[in-house]
Amino acid sequence: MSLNIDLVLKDMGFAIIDSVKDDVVDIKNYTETILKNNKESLKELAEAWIANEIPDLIFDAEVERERKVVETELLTIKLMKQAAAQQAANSAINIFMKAVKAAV
Amino acid sequence: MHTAKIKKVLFYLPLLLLILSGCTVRYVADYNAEIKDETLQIAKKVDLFWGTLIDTQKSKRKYHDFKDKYIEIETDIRILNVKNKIRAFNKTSTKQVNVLLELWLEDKKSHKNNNSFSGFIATRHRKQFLRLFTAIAKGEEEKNISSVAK
Repeated sequence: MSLNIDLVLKDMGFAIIDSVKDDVVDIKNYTETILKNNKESLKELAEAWIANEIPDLIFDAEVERERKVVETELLTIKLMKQAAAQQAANSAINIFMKAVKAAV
Repeated sequence: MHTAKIKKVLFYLPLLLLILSGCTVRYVADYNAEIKDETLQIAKKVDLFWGTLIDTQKSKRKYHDFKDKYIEIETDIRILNVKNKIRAFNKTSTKQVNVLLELWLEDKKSHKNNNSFSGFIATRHRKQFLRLFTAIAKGEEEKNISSVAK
């Protein structure tokens, strides 16, 4: 059997698209959750500060803490992207391997 | 025409070498169900801690009464950190647990110094810890998904 490289590459492309399509939705949804949480947290904090319920020192410390929390949540987005890329690349390689083996 | 073929070969050469070497692409650590479960167990303990503290009258929120729980949870987080640190391709999750530990120690120090804890801040921190644990557990779960061939 011969190897039709153009067809294999096309299949690899489809495998990559198929592999990442769900991940794109998951990443979008989780990013929205992070932003929503962050907005609620900062709103609550700002309202307490404006109403003089918390001093400046606490306000500053809480803003800094919220920054750390959001950064940590965003690291999960990084992981999601890396995991999606890993899965897509390996799916494409599997297609190629199957095609090469079938051609031998 | 000839140049185009050479370019095509050069473009796919790294992929071909990867395949011939029998390797697969790896950006994240292997999934570890035990670590995910442990993360959720610690999340439960931390949430229970804040629930108890918030439910205690402010004048009675003395550091001494919460000291043992602070230390116990600190140890849990430290061990979780070590377990994450020793895994290959796991820098991102380790960074997340580092922040978790840092914020826990901040609360412990603040409670110790003030010998009291504001209800407003405790409620905020309770929610923040839940967000952190969710992020860490979700990150671990993603490694599971990436290991399943579609």
